[in-house]
Amino acid sequence: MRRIGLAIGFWAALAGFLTLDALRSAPRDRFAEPPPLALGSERAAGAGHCSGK
Amino acid sequence: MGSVAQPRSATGPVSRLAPWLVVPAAWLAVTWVAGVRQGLLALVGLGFGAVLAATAFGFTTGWRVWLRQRDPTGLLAQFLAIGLAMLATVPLLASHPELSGAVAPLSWSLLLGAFVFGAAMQVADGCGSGTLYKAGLGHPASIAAFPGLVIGSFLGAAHQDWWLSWGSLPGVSLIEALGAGGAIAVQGMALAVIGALAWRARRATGSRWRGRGVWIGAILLAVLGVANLVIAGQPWGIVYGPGLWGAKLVTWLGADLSGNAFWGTEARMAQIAAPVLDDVTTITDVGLLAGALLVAARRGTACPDVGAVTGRQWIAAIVAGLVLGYSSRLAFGCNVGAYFSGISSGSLHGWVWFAAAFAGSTLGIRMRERLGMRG
Repeated sequence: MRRIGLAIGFWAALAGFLTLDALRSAPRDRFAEPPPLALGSERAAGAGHCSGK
Repeated sequence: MGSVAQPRSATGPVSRLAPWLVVPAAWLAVTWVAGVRQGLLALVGLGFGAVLAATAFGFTTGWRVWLRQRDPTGLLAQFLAIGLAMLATVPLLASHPELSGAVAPLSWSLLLGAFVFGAAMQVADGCGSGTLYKAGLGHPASIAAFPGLVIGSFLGAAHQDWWLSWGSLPGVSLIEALGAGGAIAVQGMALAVIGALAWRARRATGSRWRGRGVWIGAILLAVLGVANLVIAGQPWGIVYGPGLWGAKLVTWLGADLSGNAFWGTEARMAQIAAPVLDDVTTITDVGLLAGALLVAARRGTACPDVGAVTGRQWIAAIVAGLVLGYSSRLAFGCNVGAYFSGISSGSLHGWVWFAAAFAGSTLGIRMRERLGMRG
């Protein structure tokens, strides 16, 4: 049995979460945007990796 | 990760075309809103999803097929991907202090978490990346497991401090201990020896992976993994993203995480307050989902017919997702963050994770058989 409704619901929930997050989160400071590549940027990586404690 | 054979679906031309219109538009919007780095990482994530889905490169299946049928193809492809990624990752980490490797403590929580994760990924028929890409493809079990992955990853991180109090040793970077050359030599040798043993124990049965696809997939995953490091400054990871989504959701519901040892740090509180697409793990996770969907749309294999799913199997998938998320945070990552990225970063915890999760998979396969799951 194919469950297209389930897949549509999944993608709708994900899109809804991202939209709600964009509305609720702090506004971005475009001037504080990181450079395109971390390599050579002299800026350490942020806090978000699975290996973090 | 999941089954190789993807049953054809009967989706029409409109539903096949829709992702090819929506995904590029969404990518442009993300790049415009979140910046060039996030746009590049979204492309890397798209690549991960497309490669995983198109080549049926599977961590979970690779292990299961070797354990059940002694077909070493999937396992050897994983070693190829990790080894190739290591060849570039280790010298980059050794020479560029602005880049961070996936190095984590050697703790009791690592052993327990990886063992449980290895068992759960066989029941869920998907590890961290597998659950994501198969959810993107529309597999019911992976979609059912997904909310559990979010909740479990959030809770596991929130409780990580307590689990670490059981005892841990500092992380061991083989790059620091042996130098870049030494780390590559020792790890390359270890991969070669384990690969040779797996090959020697093979049985003369036809492999479920035919042709060069899985090997090309391994090479592409290694290239994308290195690109992730160069762009994001840290290796490829999966489960931190869903955990952050969970932290955001509970914060929206009024919870105060400032007192939590994990989520309450200044950097993570700032991440919870910031747009989620600013997080490098989230952006590659979302890209991975979309990449898998694009491949499915191209092939007409979205929402495959997987047959009747019993109530017991639905419950098993939901619980397995929760366990996957929770255990992955105790183990400092899943098959991607700890196994692929840990070993390619020269971290000893990646090897401990591999051994413990592989042992857990033997138990998970038995549980899978008891639940009457196919494949």
